[in-house]
Amino acid sequence: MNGVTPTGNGSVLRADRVSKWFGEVIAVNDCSLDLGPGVTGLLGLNGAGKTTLFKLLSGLITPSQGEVLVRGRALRREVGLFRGIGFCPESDALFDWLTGREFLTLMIRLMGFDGPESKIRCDRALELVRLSHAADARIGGYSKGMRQKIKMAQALAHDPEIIFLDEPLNGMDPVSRRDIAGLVKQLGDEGKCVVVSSHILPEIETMTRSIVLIHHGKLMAEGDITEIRDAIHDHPTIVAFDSPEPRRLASFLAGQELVMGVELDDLGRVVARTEHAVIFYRELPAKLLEADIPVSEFRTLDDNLQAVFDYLVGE
Amino acid sequence: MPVYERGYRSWEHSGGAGTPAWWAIARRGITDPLKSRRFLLLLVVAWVPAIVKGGILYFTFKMGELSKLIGGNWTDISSPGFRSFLEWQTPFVLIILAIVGSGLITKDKAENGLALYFSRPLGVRDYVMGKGAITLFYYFCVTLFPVLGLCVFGYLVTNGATGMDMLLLIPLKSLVYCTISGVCYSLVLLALSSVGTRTVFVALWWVLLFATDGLAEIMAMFAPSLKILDFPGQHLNMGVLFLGGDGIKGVAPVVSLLIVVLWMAAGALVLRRRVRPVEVVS
Repeated sequence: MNGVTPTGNGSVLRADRVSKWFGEVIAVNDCSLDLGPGVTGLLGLNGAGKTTLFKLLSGLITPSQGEVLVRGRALRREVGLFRGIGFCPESDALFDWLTGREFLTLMIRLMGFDGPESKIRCDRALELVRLSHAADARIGGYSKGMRQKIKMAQALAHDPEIIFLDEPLNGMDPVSRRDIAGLVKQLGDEGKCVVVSSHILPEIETMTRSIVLIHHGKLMAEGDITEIRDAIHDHPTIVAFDSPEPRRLASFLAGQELVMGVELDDLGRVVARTEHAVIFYRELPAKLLEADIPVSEFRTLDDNLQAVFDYLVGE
Repeated sequence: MPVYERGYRSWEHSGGAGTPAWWAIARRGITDPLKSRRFLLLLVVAWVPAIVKGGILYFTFKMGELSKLIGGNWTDISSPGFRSFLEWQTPFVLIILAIVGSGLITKDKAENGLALYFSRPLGVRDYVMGKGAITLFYYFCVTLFPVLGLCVFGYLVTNGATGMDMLLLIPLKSLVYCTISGVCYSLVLLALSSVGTRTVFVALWWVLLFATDGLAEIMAMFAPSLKILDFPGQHLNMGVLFLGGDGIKGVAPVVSLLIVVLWMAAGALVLRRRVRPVEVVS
């Protein structure tokens, strides 16, 4: 399930022409977007305005102009709306002198839950991030990965509808990365609106195909990576085919209207370029069958997040 | 694009109204220092003057002649006597509040914890109230609570001879005085804590504030009105309004009350400017 909703239908979180400036510096410029249930990756270079947009969406700072709405209600005007938000900051915003359980209980109580309920939620959240074994140890003695997990736990313990995760896999070992990435995906599948910010693109890609790209304070692209890739006409999509009859396939592809160029690469694969990958993928299998050309596999070489990011940002 | 609403259960804001946010903060902050044995010992030491005064009260009543030998405020169970007792407690107020309060906001800011607080349903007011309740509680621990204890003890020892004074009037007057004074101390300490970047510097500023006592004494040799610079002195002088006794010569208790209120306002103003959910990016 992906998180960006283009029409606003099913929108949980909406930024309505939001701008933020600090003195004469415009950090975020007139951004509008709708986020629905699912995982959305928030991407941008350093200084692009990603962090500011993240803080605006999570209600931590007030927009200079525009409004952030949660289910149509202004987030900065109703403090109660924060009960539906979980926020996992990038920085080590932890209280080292407390144990994991004490920290988590405080965070849950701040959401308005009473003692017994806090205890239940605390245990559940610790279990969710697999940190129960270290619950009664001081946070000051936690490893980087454990600190990341306890931050995740406090963001999830109150079962929020909207979850903001800033660099959630930072400092984690490979096993924990896999676990947390899986947890994020699961949250998205359960219908939570999860916004993940990361500068490590393959990490985002393990969690979602839906992205929001911000550049120089402006929204550059939003939606599914493949669809965004398809819309980048400056860089035709590169598709590689494995076939026992490569020359016949190359000749066939060269005759297709959607194909801009065909070549054989060093690995013996047929490589085609197209500006309309989505239509190409939709129509091609039937045409190949009709022409009776055997193809064992075909895949896009550059519709990954890194390629999309590079093409759009161009830096 | 797919429709995303499939099967999603709309969130109903069922967070509950169980624990007020400020109380959750206060509770955590009050219990934290109690984990330290040294701090507990310090609290016990802070009660020594009250225990001594209680003992003397007991013996004075049982052996009336002793009061003539000791004399002074130790045997005084009137309102001014309790004001003097609160004056003796000033060093404990300084030390205990420095330990408890110096890091209250500084640590949160240093650890970037403010974002964690303010991503929850609480405002700056709840946050400050919660932190203020911690310092106020410990201020009461070394001032009001011993006074109340002594009042009850004195009433019992004298078999009720002190009447309503001991049981009602002095506790009420002490409550009003300690609340005003404690709120002022809390706001000023929290303001210092919100400005400081390291706990040790905040504690240092706090000590310097109490050192104005001596400084004002020296300056008053040239101009007696400069005694208004004595920060803890204004609190005690203000106490004359509620508990009676002799205050600072040359400074009216009402003026001290006004100065205390000004300190409160200054503290609140600093907190308003310094406590923000996230640091502003420049």
